[in-house]
Amino acid sequence: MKASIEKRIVAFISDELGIPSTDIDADANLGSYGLESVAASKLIGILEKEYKLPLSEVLVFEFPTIAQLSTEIGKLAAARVG
Amino acid sequence: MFQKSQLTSLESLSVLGELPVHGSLSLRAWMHPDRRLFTFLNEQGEETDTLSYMELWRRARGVADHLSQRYPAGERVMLFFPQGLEFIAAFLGCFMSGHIAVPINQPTRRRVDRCVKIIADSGARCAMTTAKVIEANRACLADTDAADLEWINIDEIAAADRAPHTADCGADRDQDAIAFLQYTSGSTSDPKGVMVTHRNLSINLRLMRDSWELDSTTDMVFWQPHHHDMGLIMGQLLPIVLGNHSVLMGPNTVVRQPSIWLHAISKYRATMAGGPNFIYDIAVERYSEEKLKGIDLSCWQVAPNGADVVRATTLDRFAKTYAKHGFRAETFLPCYGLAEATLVVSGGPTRRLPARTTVDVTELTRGHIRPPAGPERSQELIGCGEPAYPFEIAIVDPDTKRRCAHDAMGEIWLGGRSVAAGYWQNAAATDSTFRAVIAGEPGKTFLRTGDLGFIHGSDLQLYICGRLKDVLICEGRNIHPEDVEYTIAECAAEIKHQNSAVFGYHDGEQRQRIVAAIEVDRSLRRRSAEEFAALRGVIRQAVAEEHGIPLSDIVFITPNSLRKTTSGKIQRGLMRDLFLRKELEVLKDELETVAP
Repeated sequence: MKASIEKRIVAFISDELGIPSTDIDADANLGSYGLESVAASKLIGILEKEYKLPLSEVLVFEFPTIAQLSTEIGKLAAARVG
Repeated sequence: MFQKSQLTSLESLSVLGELPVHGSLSLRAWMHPDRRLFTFLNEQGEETDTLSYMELWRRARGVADHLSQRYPAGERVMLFFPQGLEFIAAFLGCFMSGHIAVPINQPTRRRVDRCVKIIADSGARCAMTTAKVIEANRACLADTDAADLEWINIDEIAAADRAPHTADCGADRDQDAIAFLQYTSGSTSDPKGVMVTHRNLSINLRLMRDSWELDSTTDMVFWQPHHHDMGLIMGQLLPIVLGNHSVLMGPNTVVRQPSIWLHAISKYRATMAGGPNFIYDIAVERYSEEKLKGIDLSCWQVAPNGADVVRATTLDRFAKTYAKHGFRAETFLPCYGLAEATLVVSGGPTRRLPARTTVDVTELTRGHIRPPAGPERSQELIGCGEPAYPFEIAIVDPDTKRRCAHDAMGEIWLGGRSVAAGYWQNAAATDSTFRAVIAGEPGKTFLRTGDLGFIHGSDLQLYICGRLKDVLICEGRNIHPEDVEYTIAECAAEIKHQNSAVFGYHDGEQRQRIVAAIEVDRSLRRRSAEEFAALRGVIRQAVAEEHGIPLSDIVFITPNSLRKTTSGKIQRGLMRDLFLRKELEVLKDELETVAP
């Protein structure tokens, strides 16, 4: 689950910011790629749809790396299913 | 001369301010024939050639006689000269004979397209150069549309065997005739030759002399190439009008060994020496106590810093590094100018600390000049001087064409008789660039510089904020590529200033992508793919933190493949075109490891 969420986020950043996916590190801060508020909001929107979860926009700031964000979304999704 | 036996210094000042440059040379060759005018230093900093006022006059007169016998006045003459003292004789020879000089860089394989386009645009039939490089130049153009250019070897032209007389001063010359074409504008595919008249030159040279308080005692050291307006007009024509002694050297000498430049300033007791911002950066980066031992820069009073963005950090570092050698920060003379305005537009007052102002960086990107909202949003800007008389500077909204008030950013528009006559045989570009009219102010035309800036109400200095056309707009904010490039150079020790180009393009979905093409030195070539990826990470983070924008692609390119103009300005548009055509010289190792 976590790996597929990570993959989804990497794909988003690559598409939205035009950064080659090979340059994107799951443990780097999302802000370090220039992911600003507009793009962060888009990301939340995509994850909400993809995983059918209501997500807060501050999630990106509370879990600022792809790995941390994926773990958190994985937990939220599991809790919802459970 | 003028039916007089001598001229007082005030008489000569007023005459010299009026005469075309070759007339000033004639007058000075009459007044002080044996005074040393130029000394040329080779790449080791050794004197290899000199010219007195009379020697230059006789050589130039010889060129003029040669041209007059072969080509009708008004014909264009290409001047392809290596660094040295031969060029100025050819250039002023064209002035004397009424031919239009077209000084450009010598053709090389990389520049040959641009060179051929310029020859075609100017309509020149003949070219002049030295014996040493004539065959190489001819060979370079052999299979091009310029193959039938007629070549003149200046070394075969004898110097005139006489002294100047009153008629040689050119006082009756039509001052509005074109003196030369300056091809520094326009892209390779669409070169534009700025038509600079004798009057334009006289006014701009007088403006430098008067607003910077220069005279025959203010000797100079210059290294900018003569095919660039700053090297030509400030470095080689200004000395003639001033009557000083100037020491010249090639740009490669200084870029490779800035210590030679600084040694020359010290040795020849130069009052004036300068260049674009990067030269001061290089001088600091390459500082060596051992190499600069004993130099004394206390003679240095005017250090022009122009033709590029003037950085506060550059000035501070240079002043700090060289204070122990007698350099005073009051020497810095940030200035602004462009070929379309002949050369200098603003600069000074001299001999005082450069003007600075601190603005809010976020507001600045939206075109507003405001005090910073907090320390993290502050950006320091350097004033590029007050408008030099007789220029009129207007700051104009480029969209509405309305005049902006003080402290509002807009396009810099210029009026006054130092504004050049237009682009050679290009009525459309001349009209749109040189004949702009401010909304609500009919009857007066201005030159559109394409540069953004503002006049600061509290000090009346002109502050430059970037180029209109290179500006990136990210989510409604203006981002100036030079600022991003600066951040890139600052964030990693491996990357030098002036070694990257940042530009934007719109992808298939009309989304803006920002690219950094970064030149790396040989030390980086053997790095692993992981190390390159890590470096890209550092760069992206620095740019994101500093400017809040994502860098989409970061490409490392081979040494010397970053395209720059002859004056060292980064050609972002050209780099973008090469990138989009996949023609950038991407570093090989990296290509192999990253490409799928």
